[in-house]
Amino acid sequence: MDGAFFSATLLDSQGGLQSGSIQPLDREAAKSLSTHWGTWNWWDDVVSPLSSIDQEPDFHWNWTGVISTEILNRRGRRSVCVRTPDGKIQGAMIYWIGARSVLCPGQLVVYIDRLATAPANREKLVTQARFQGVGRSLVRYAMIESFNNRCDGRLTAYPIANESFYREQGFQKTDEFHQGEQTFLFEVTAETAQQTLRTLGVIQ
Amino acid sequence: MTHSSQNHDVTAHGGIDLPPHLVGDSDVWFDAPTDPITLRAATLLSLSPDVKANFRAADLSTMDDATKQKFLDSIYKVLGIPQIRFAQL
Repeated sequence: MDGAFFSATLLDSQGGLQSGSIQPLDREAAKSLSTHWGTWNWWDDVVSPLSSIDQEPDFHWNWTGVISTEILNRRGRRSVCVRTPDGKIQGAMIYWIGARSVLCPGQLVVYIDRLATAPANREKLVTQARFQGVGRSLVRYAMIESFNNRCDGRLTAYPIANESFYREQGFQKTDEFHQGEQTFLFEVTAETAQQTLRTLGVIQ
Repeated sequence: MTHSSQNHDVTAHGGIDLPPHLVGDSDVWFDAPTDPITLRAATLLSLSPDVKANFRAADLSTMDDATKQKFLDSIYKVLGIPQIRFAQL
């Protein structure tokens, strides 16, 4: 490993296994994820998108702004990214520790507020995704954070872009509906998360 | 930053050899940890009446991953909590 305690297992466009480190995402690094700063950002990596990139739900996300206003100095709120050896960020996530569970009332969860893989990794936008497995690794990392912080591995998220992805990671639909996002809250139970972590060898 | 004479040497419980600058008869030092394993261990240690952790620049970064894992395992063992292991996710 390259100093990171947890590594993301990625599949490159040639079908080879690559490793990315999971690291904290700070404000400066987050500028490369947004179009707001007039500098290179990960949207620029998609030269001829297969569909309009400005229709992507996260196209207007200002990651740096969110980190500044909603993460820094807020207890239990964190931001991380997956970075490949070439220095590029392949995906990012913002999460809150200690939100409430819907499926297990009275218990706490880690709520994934934002999760995105780099546009160049999206099959919707490019003919050949650069890396696969970024989002999956970030969700697994969130399970570890949940397990480590008295949330027993539970996660919640609103799957605004790709519901099937969340189902594949073990999320199930709850009956809590978000009017603004027009989607239901999804949750990973403690049992599902801990089984995933046991399979990975993170816990015994 | 306080030093407690009540602190004990986690190596006595973990059974592994550690660099002397990390564990002695006073505190365990961490380099502002951000990863969940170390942060959890450091947090728990900081709450322990027996073992005190301080956040300061003398760190785990000099250890290879295997040693680091053993070190943290030893802390978990002392504190009697489930262990988390490094993994490819």
